Amino acid sequence: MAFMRRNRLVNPRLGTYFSIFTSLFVGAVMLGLMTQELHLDRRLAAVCIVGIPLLAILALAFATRTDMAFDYFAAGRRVPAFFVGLGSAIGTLGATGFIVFPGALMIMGVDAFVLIYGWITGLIFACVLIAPFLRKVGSFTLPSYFYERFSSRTLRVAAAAIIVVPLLAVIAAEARLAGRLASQLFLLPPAVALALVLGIPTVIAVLGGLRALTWTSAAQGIIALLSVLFVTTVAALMLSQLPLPQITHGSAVREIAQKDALRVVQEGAASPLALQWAVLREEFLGRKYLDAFTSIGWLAFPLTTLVLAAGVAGLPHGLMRHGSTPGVYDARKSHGWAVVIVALVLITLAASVGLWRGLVMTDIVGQPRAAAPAWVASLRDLGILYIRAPTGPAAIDLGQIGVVRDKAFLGLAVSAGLSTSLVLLLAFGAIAAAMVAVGAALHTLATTVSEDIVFGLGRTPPSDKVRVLTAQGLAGVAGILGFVVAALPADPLQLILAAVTLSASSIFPVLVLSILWRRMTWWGALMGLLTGFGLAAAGLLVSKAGVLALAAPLPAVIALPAAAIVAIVASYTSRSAGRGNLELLRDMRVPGGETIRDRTERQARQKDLAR
Amino acid sequence: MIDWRERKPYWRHTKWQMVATLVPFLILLIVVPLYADVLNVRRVIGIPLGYFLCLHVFLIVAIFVIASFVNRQDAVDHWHGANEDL
Repeated sequence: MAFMRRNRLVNPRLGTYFSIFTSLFVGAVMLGLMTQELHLDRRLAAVCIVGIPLLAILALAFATRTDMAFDYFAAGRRVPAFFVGLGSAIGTLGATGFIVFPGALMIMGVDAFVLIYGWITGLIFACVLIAPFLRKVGSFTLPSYFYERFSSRTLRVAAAAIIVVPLLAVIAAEARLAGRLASQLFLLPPAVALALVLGIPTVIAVLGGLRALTWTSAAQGIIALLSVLFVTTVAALMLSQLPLPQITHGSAVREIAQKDALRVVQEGAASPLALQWAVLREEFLGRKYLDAFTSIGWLAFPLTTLVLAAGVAGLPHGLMRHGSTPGVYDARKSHGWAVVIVALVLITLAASVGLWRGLVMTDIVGQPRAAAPAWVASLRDLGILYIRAPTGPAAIDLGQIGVVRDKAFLGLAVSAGLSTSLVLLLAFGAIAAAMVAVGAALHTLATTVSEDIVFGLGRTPPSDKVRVLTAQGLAGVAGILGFVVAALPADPLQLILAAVTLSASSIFPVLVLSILWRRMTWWGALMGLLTGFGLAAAGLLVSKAGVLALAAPLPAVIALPAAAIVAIVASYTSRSAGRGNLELLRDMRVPGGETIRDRTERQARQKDLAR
Repeated sequence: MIDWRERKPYWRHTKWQMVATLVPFLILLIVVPLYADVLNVRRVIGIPLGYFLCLHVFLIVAIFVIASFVNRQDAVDHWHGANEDL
């Protein structure tokens, strides 16, 4: 398999298939718009815009179902870089990027750019420091990689137990965001909406594992990307008669800056280590949009960026997806595509927030409440915006306008007077992004538990059929567990930040040291993982209890270096790795040659045949 | 497949490539936002300069950094004979 030419590995008809899917999606959206223009039942538009693409995705999942281990766990290692990058980009952003980031930007102002820097830098860290080496090793899970590198079952099981926690947090956060949105838009009971948002990725993961998830993620990624690009462009055209809102929103930002200059604001710069995220309930728009370091201190900003980047780079469900590329070069290239797509989505979302804030400053601020435009009532009815001003001739101040963080991303579409179908399209894009993230995390969780905990302790590896069946069963269990955790009351942004904190503190330093430092031992890796995880968890709990004002992900500022130091000291105080482990390290640092895991399996099969 | 004698020079070259990719990018990432407020008094194509640098320029630079890393590392792989046979 590893010595076949790259162009023979990849299906040459992929472009055709996904062009057909894109055309189907665009046609469904146009059909939905037409039903609305014809004043037909509103539910028909929802069936067209949401139902048809979802059916196509489920059909794709059914068509890519598999029970072969190599396809189930690694998608056959024949997915081109672009498709892996697309799935990785949308999965990395998830509903947090599509829903929470615009709300945070609207409320916190440019301080919310810390999220942009964290995501982008995390993908660059993964590309440069981690992913190509993991791809060369070819393990299906991170704990399996640790086992290949250090030959320690204890480390394997401990790593698996640690990795489960951030994965569950990601599943809960993404499902909660998407479930709440689906419940409000489609008038479903919250439990039913949550079950749908979790159930679809679970079915996909059970049917075809990474193979089905990769191709359905590509389809969902196309939906998410097109929805946000199209709706923002249409809104920008209606407001400013100019396309490319990513560039042309500058005039709106300029007007915001000019109007903010005339306002007197009580809140000054935050203290250097302050970190105040936008919260779940409505928040009033007191801060000046372009004033930096009003929510996040000047020292906390770069620290948070670096910790977010380390956390994003270390998240297991992002890393293992790149194992489905044909080779190391494609694994690097897929990160490049991921950065391009993430950049495009985030600059479009930033443009939509800039345009909306400009509209709010022009049409609401400075006007009496009775003179507020009609779209204010629509925003209030949808629970997106609140005005705390008394009715009367007094002018509304920006500080009297409240915005709900997790609904603000719909603000521009409603304010610009776009049809309900386009608002639905934007929401469906966010839900699709959430399902990509949920699916990736679910599959990684199920595979980690089955490969590294259930079978990791055994001496004899089970047959491929047993491995796949176990992983499929555990994917179903993970879906149910995700439902239980997502139903608990919690702020989704805080859950994601907790996942990133734990990943940055435990997984990232140990992974990087295991690749770059040959003296690293299994004992050092184990101590590093436990120290990082323990300190990060303690910091999060202490902050939650109100003992220390150390908002996530700042606990990782202490936990990450502590984990690295403990890993180094513990490695020096234990016996150095054996010759086999050092040979593997030398081999994994070189892209050329066969994938290490595939070579090991091939040699084991040849030995069995020779007997 | 890479020659045994090329492994150490290859790994040294790879590590320097990592440093050359990450260090300038991280310096830009940390330094530019600190001066965004001061730079906002100027404008570029109608956009406040600090905002333009922190958003548009940062994203363009990030894409350039990762694209150049992928290409440079591939060139390093080929130079030392460590490239894949695909």
